[in-house]
Amino acid sequence: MTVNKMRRSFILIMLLLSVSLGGCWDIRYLDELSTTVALGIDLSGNDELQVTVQVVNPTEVSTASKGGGGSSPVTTYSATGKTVFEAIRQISNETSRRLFFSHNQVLVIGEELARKGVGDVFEFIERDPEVRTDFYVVVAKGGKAADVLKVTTPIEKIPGTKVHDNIENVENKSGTSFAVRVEDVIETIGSDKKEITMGSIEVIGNVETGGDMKNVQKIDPQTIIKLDGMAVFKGEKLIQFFNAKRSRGISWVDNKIKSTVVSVPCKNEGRTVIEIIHSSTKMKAKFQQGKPYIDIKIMQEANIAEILCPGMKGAAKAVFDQLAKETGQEVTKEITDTVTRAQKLNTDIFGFADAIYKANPSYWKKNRHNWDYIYPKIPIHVEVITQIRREGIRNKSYFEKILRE
Amino acid sequence: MFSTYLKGKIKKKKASRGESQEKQDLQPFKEKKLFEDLKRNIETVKTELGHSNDIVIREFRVGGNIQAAALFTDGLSDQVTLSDFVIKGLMHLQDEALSLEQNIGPEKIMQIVKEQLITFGDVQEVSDWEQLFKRMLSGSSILLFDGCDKAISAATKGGEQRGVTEPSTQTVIRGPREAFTESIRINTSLLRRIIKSPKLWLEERTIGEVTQTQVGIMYLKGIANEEIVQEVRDRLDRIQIDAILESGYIEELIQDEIWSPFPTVYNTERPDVTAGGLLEGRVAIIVDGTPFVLLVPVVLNSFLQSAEDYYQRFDLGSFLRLLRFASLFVALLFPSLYVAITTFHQEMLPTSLMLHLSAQREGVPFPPIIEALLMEIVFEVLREAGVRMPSAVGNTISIVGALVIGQAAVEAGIVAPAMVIVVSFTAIANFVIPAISLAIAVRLLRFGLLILSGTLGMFGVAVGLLVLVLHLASIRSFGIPYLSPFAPFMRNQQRDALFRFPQWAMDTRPPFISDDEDLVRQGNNQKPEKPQGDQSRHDGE
Repeated sequence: MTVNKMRRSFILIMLLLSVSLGGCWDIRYLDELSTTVALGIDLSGNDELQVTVQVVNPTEVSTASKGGGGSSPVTTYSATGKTVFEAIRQISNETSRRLFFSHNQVLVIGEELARKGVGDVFEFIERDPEVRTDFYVVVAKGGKAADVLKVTTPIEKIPGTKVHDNIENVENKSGTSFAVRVEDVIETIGSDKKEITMGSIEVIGNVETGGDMKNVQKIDPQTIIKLDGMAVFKGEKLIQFFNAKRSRGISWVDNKIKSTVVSVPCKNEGRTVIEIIHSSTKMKAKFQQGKPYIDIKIMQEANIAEILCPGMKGAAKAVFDQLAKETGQEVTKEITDTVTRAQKLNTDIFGFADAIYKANPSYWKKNRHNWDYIYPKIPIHVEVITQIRREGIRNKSYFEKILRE
Repeated sequence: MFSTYLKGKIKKKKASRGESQEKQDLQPFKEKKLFEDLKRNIETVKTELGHSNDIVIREFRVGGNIQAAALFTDGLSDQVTLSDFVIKGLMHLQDEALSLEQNIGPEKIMQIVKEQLITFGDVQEVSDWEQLFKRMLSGSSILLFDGCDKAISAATKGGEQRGVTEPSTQTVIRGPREAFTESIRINTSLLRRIIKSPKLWLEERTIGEVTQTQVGIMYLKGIANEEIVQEVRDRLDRIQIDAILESGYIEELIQDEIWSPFPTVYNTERPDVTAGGLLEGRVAIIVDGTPFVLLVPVVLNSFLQSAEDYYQRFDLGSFLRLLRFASLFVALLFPSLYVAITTFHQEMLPTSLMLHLSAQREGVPFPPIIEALLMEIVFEVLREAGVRMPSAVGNTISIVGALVIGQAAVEAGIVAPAMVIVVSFTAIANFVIPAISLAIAVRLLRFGLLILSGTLGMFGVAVGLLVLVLHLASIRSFGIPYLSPFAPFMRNQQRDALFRFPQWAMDTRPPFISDDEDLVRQGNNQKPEKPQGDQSRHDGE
């Protein structure tokens, strides 16, 4: 009886101890965390990395607390080290709180580092359980990542969030740049059948004054950060920034277009503007006499956004058909131009290799080592099917009258 | 004499059950007959009751020369009934029946009185002291005749009783407005008024050696499972206790799970809920002296149902049930989830919410778990104060409470505003649970989960919930698995579980409760259909 009782109380004590001692080891209180929203990595000197973190100052951001005293909503800390993790640990010399990476929104890579190679940057991000891999990566075009993180932004108080939302906005509305997540990059590096692309970002204006809160107190901020076209890599190295048109070409091939604007010239003068509202791309490798070619098929729906053509009537089927055909041609032209360019650079950013592998694994196995010779010569066949759905709430444009006179 | 009997009984119970040594000493009194001598009988009554002033002894003569006495308890008996129907008749006995025969014996007189004179219902012959005291103290009048060792007890029960009022718990917007009262007889009559079936059977017994409380078992013969009824009888018969002051005493003495916070007996003060339970085959245990009637067997699901689910439209009923289930989880888990997420799993929060919370927590001196426990305890204190306070100062409490907690604590920076939201929403969600007995269980378990979440995070909460589910799955109420009809899963019974299907779809009684001989509760094709024929009658005119 007593032995039994003793054993029972022993087990109870062990259970209580295991809860009270074993628990709490990974406890982190909210007020002891510094939430990072953006991470910047630059080359420092020859072989060192400079890591910059953008950390939120919560009382400045939250609308609930009135305690803010006009200090900036975010703060950046920088440190250098041989590797990313070493540099991050160096940052603790400057901060009172533990850095918390789970809410990180963007990773900015300096152009210099991108040109040198980004291969080893992602190892820590992928390995650490606290850091997610679903935030976006961009290259700081013509500058350092640290500079991008130091610019204040209006409306979105947190620049990291601004960049994050901006990337999504561009992807959804114009397609001249699209969101690339860290996990996408890691996956692409891991496979040998595709090359990396990622968006680019640049600082317009003076970096020095851009970090001041005065920058956002103006209606027209002097320094802004702005998304640009896609950065194209070969291997782990950046080789070129594509302009807006070609970047959109990548989006089209990669099935990233959600909505965008295509303008079609009229017969004589003026243009018609078509708003693509939905687009879906299917890319397949096909073989003709043992040689591969890439078949790109795009199905898209569109609305007429603007008619600035004299004499064009909106509500006629012939007009719709004509416009659809011309839109298709315009898109095809863009895609062909982009692919030609990429083939010239000999970088397979579209994943043609992957498509060929999927269509014919044995062909890929045989020719994988000759890929650099095969890729530039692969022909593509683009087919765009456009369906124009609506023409807005107007049949005839008021504009027609002006043109007639 | 009687008091020593009582002492003996109680001592015996304290010693151990089934001890028959002392029982034998008491046996003589239990069966002790009344004396023939009226004076001696009256004297015994006076001594046994310690000359209590509320015992009225009215002596009179019957048939000219026979001494008789009426004994009753002032306040418990209806004096008008007594004088109109009993004493008046007795005093005039001389003129009528007795004039025919001469020298009539007391035995004969008693028979005449019993058979011809007392003009109303429940009249019984009593021959031993125990019966006599029991009846007299429950309001009956006792008639003693000199020279006769028997007495007549006439049920002249009366006196002041609280009337039927609106229920103060389990209130509804639509539905009957009456509640049970403290009188068992009113309560059984309320049930009889709802279910006018000869199958509604009532068994009564007296429990409580000192209080002699009447306890009734009510069930629908043929619908209630006979085994369950027998089990209720057995469990009630096993009770040996000095007093039953409320049905809670019975509940604790007959429940299945002693060490569980979850109630395995349902209590209600609503006759319609009780009738609903009876119609599903449950057994009602009605205890004199309390408006709370017990219903067994019961499953967890019953505690989340309200009578109104059936009175309102089925779509609203279903919505409200889902809402209650959600509230149950909120009441149980909200503070623990908040603590677990803000101390261990910040990555689970949306970024902007996390930034808001961390701004709120800026400068708060306590970790969230302490903060949560603090606020929960403050709330519990306020709540208890609110219940115990005289209603005149109730308002003060709520104002002080709201100000102290809501405003001052946040402004002083002792707690984060989010915590106040969490605690108050949890408290409100707790009130959504219609049955108080389950709400109390949830209230207690909340603290356990809170501590687990504060030490082990989400893992702790998951472990706590797992243990809870295992525990719930292991409980039975009078042989019925507590999680029915979810586990074991009964497809057909889901019509009246998480959702409330339309009346025409709930065509059977719950087979896990009712006697499965007769489960059909409605005819075929009860679903209303659109009338056939000319629909455009009015259009043509």
